[in-house]
Amino acid sequence: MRAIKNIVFLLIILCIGRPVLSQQVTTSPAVFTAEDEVTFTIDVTGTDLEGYTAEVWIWTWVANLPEPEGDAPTNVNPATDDQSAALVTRNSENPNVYTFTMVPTAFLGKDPADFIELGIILKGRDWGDGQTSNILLPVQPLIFVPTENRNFPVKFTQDDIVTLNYDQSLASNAAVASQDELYVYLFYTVRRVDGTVDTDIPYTAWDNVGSSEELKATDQGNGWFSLSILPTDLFELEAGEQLIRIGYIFRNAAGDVEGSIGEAFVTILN
Amino acid sequence: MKKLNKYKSLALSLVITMVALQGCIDEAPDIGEPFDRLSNLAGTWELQKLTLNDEDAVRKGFPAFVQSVDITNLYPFTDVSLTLNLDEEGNPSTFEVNTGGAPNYFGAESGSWSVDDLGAPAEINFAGGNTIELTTYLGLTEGALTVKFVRYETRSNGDRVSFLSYEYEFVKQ
Repeated sequence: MRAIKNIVFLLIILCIGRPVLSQQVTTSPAVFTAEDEVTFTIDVTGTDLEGYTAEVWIWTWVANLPEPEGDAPTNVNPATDDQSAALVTRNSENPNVYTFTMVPTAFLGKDPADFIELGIILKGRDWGDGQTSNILLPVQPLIFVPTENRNFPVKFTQDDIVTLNYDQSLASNAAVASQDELYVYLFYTVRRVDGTVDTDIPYTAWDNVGSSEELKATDQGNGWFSLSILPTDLFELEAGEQLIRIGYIFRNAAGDVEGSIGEAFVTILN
Repeated sequence: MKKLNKYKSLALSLVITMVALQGCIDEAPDIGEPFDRLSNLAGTWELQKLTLNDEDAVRKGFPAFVQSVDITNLYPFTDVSLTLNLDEEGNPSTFEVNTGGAPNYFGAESGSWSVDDLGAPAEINFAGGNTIELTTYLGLTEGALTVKFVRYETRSNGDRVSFLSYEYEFVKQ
């Protein structure tokens, strides 16, 4: 029964992450606030825009605000020359890859406090010309907001020591809030040397976590648990491989009690 | 004639007063010899403490526990030592890092090193490795050295913005 539950759980995990269907999206920096300059890189392979050769615009909005309050001023359909600020750049080597750089507060004309989630779509001049599906991206707050899961530092490379933290006072359920001991289930997404991306690879199977000493979280006191890792070492990355994201779940040794899924996005330096 | 004698008396009074005051004015303290920072950098340094800073959190004034974390005991960082050698002219020559098996953010274990300014170095460059920032001279003459390895993001306008740093606190062997 537990095995079936774990299989279902893992299938759910594989479907969770960025709510992107066909397109691959990366941001630089990997995590950003509304006041950061952020570059979106979007691969539209598998969408209506695959092979598209005409101009492409970005349609963007503050996803946690109601329409049309959250819309960028450039959200006009069909797009005209007046919306040239929303034109995205097609990659000369891979015409299905587009980039766009913005400072969200400036581009959308909203206050930093308005941003919790940013939505973007790439589209042709008119909706009928083709578009991607909705891309929703979390925006880091400018003030510190305690969360159930937290990684330190917020921005890190795969060669940096990163600490995954769990706050039982903010636990998603009473069962995990009452545990005296926690372990961490880890899974990661990596771009291989040949460019392929392997998503949500478990560091070790769910059933092995409770017997893996290196995955036992340190009790920092007052309901705060942490696990520090060096990603390149722990995940045994080969030269040229690029870690993209670390997923984690704080759980008990038996694996029948767990917290919410945490995500730590790796900063990729040029 | 009477007026001239009056001025002579006044001038003499002034001279006497100035001579008398000269004895009351303290001599300006000696500023001492120039501080030779390079020779104070040279030597073998043992790591006492390593702090990881979230530079973004520091800039935003977040609570202290999300600004910095002492990571000294996460790996054998107290086994780390750094040796900086000078040549016969007193210029930077070779360096050696004993990593003790801990992650090495100097980027290289041996080779040549240089500084950005021989008189007032702010950066130490390790050939084949990273650039380390010399954050303060405080304590240097007493055998304490604090340096930082900083990671930066580069914006589209070329500006560099730090997002994390490793702050090394050494004591001289």
